[in-house]
Amino acid sequence: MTRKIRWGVLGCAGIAAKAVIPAIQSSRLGRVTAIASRDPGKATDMAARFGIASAYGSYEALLADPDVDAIYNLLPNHLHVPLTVMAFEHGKPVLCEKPISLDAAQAMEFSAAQKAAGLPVCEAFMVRHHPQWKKARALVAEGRLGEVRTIQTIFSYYLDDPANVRNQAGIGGGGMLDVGCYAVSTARYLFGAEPLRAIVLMERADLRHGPPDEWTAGISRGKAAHFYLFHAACAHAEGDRAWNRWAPGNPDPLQPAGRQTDVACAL
Amino acid sequence: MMVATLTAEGARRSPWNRSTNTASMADAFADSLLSGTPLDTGLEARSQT
Repeated sequence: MTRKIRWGVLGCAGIAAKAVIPAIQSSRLGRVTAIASRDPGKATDMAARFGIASAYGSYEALLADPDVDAIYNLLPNHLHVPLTVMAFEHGKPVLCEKPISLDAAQAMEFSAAQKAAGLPVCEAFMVRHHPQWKKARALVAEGRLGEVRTIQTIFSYYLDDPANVRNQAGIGGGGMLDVGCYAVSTARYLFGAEPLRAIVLMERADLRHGPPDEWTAGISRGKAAHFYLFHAACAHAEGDRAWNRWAPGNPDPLQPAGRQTDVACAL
Repeated sequence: MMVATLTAEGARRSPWNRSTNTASMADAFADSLLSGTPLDTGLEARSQT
């Protein structure tokens, strides 16, 4: 019988019940065996709902659980680095929700801690582990599209609830960090190369009530004249409904353009 | 120019969804932990940029 990884989940956000916990419980190689929330009642409720053995009212208690093999960090963006570093200190590998860090300083802190701990870590961009995207990458690598020079992405949604974490500037909300990171990460994955520089336009919302950016559009230039063009929107104002052309039920496209042909994939 | 489209209609017919996407990712990481085989997460390349 194949050994399974015993997952400890940090956080009881909506995505935990909607996607992450059911996904892990149905996965081939893992089961959620512990869950933690700052609100012990939420953790207990979630544990009962999904048959999770242990519920904790603090993240530290879960990290100290010797019966947890790996951590899924589902917390809001500003807690990704602090709790991932804390998990390393407890000797736990981490699958962390995207984006791992909010800025370059946090990224450096995370990178140094991960190297010191020598523990595996993965940023939750499912693209790298999905057959559709593996196929798209192979098409690019095999030259089936001709020479790919440009990847264009639009990823947007409409969300006008100021209480939603995606609309809160102080904890890493906004279009760029929430969905723009998919555009950048997926372009890096398909090109197999890193960007060298970027030019970005960003429209900032009313910071008292909105996300740090309602929309961001950018061009990133990589080696060999690769260009990534991306537009990410966490639309907040009524007039911005037009940005939300593809969702819901009509996924946002990412389009690598080659000299011979293009391929458009749903994000 | 031929355009291969894997967008809306394909996504609707696909057995893949948010849950199966996440399960696939969790299994990739779990397999890496169980086998000791490093997983290409892109983070190493990014840290050297």
